[in-house]
Amino acid sequence: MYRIGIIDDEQETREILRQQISRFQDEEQAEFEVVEFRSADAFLAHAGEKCHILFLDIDLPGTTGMELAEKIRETDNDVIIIFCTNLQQFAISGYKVSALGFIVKPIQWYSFHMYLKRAVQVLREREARQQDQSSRRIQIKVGSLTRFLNVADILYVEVQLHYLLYYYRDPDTGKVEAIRTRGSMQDVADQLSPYGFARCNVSYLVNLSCITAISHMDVYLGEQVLRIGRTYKDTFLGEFSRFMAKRGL
Amino acid sequence: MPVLNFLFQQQVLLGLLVASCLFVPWDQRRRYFPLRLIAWVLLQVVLPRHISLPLSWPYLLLDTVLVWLMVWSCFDCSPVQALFSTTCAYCVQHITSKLAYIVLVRLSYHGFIQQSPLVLLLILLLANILVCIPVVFWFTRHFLQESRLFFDSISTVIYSGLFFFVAVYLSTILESHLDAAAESYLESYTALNCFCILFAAAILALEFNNSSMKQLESEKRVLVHLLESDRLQYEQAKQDMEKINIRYHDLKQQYSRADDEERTKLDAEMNALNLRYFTDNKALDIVLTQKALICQHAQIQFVCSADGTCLAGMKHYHIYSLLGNAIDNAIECLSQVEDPEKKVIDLDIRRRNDMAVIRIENYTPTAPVLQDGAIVTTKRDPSGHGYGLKSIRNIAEQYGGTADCFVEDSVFCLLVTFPCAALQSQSGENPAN
Repeated sequence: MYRIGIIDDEQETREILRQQISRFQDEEQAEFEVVEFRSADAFLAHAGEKCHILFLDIDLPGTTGMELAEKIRETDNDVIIIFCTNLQQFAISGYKVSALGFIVKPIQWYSFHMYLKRAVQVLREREARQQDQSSRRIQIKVGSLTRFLNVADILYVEVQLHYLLYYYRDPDTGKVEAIRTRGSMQDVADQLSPYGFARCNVSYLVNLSCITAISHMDVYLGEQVLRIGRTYKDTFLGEFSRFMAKRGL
Repeated sequence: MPVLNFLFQQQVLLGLLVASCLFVPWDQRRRYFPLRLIAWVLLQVVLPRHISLPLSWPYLLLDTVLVWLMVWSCFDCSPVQALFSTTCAYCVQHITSKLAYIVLVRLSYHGFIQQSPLVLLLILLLANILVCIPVVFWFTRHFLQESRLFFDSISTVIYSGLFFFVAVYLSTILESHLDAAAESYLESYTALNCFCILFAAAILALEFNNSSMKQLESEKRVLVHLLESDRLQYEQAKQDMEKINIRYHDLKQQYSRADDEERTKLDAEMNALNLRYFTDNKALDIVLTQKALICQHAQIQFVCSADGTCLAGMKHYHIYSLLGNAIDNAIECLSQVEDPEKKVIDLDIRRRNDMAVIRIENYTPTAPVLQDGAIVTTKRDPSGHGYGLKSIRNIAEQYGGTADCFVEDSVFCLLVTFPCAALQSQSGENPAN
């Protein structure tokens, strides 16, 4: 069950949001607990009760919705914020608080449904990740040793003849080490693709979440630069774009 | 039988006419096209019979020239393009004819069939089908869709046409000197004809590579032209924006001195002018303000969250052109949507890691067809359309960035990324240029 906070000074909007949340529950088989607040201050007074999703009116009296969002973000990067606004121009600085989306009032089902669906997706993915930590670790044999690597910390994998080099960032020290083991690119690609890895080249399998920049020729992983192979370019850039489009959620 | 005999005698001309159909610019037919065509075909049937020439090659040349003149006269194209069509048609005719004869000679040599006009015509028909379908599929389909051949490389057309003509002539000499009674005849005949087929295929590929390269150059010229027109539009929009700002400032001044009645009037005007965006990037402000107004008129919600600072290194008219094209595409798509709830454009511009990321989304009733990085337009007149996405990609690549689009759950998403380092390295130049 997810907890949704509605922060809006207009009774009518709160009512519409409640109705649409209820419709969403019926159509999408989701369960929500809804709490309402008339102002930013009322919400802050109940800050102990954490919400998963916030429908936040930008044009609140007193502390505005955008100011409230900035305040929330000082301590909480997880809560999903969906703004509701009377004027579409108010959305312009939403990037500052990593808002998931904006709904222009009067609230319409199409936008509401799209953003709430995305929010639920994000929450479910996060949960899956947390509950299933062990499945996000892979096991590799290095000589007689067996090592467990957290996939999120693998920057990329390089193939050299019959060997694989895992470039692994130690989560404690931040140092990158190369771990060498026997294996084929096809096998490691099959194993890691579900975790958001894609081949940019015949020799490299890249963790899309570790990419810091990309050009039409190269992939940047911090200091490290990898070339994008011509035959892999379209598929790789396609996967990267889809990944980036979702990451905003 | 006279009909079969006539067709047998005119097999080269028939083959050429069929092959020509693959390469001529069909939408550029001249006036009285059917009459012209009939006249030229008749001329090609009658004229060679009434001319007596001492050698065989002038006949070959005459045939070639007549086909070239026929194409030029029937279609509104340049003589070079007519030569291109003629050479390609000759190549296809040559391939089908040689293929048919290899089969015919080998089968009759082993006694499987008797050589007769009917058998040959049937094999020729089969060979035409086998050759023309792949040629249409791999080579000409694209050009037929584009309906224009971008072709002006005179030297390549002339050289390839000339080489092919000489090769055909030499092969006829060689073939006439082969000894049909010799044991090696079948192998020699097959080898010679295979060589002819390969040569014709090579010439065909050369012609098409050359013309497709020309098409890319022409495409580049179109993109440069479009960008230049966007630059001029940007200059105009900049001036308009300044006028709006001045007017808004004046209204505010008047407002402070006005009474209640006047204030009501001023409110209305100020609200109309208030659809302005401030993102810390002048070019972005201008394009967002301009497109938001268009969206308002088209009853489209335009929801935009934008960090203008992350595009600081880009030239202003590049920002204007890129965002303008992206939003125009979305508006065009949504204008075909009837449900007002779905008429929403969601634009997001922000910095992520070392990248500036632009994401624009809109509902799409049908997934657009993408071809060579451009959306294939559904409009009746395809000329001038479909360049929006190419133009966006062209600008992105100028800054070392990428542009890609896809459709998921009926939502079209365009994602453009720029490496910030590349933007910053260009910010030393005057971005307003």
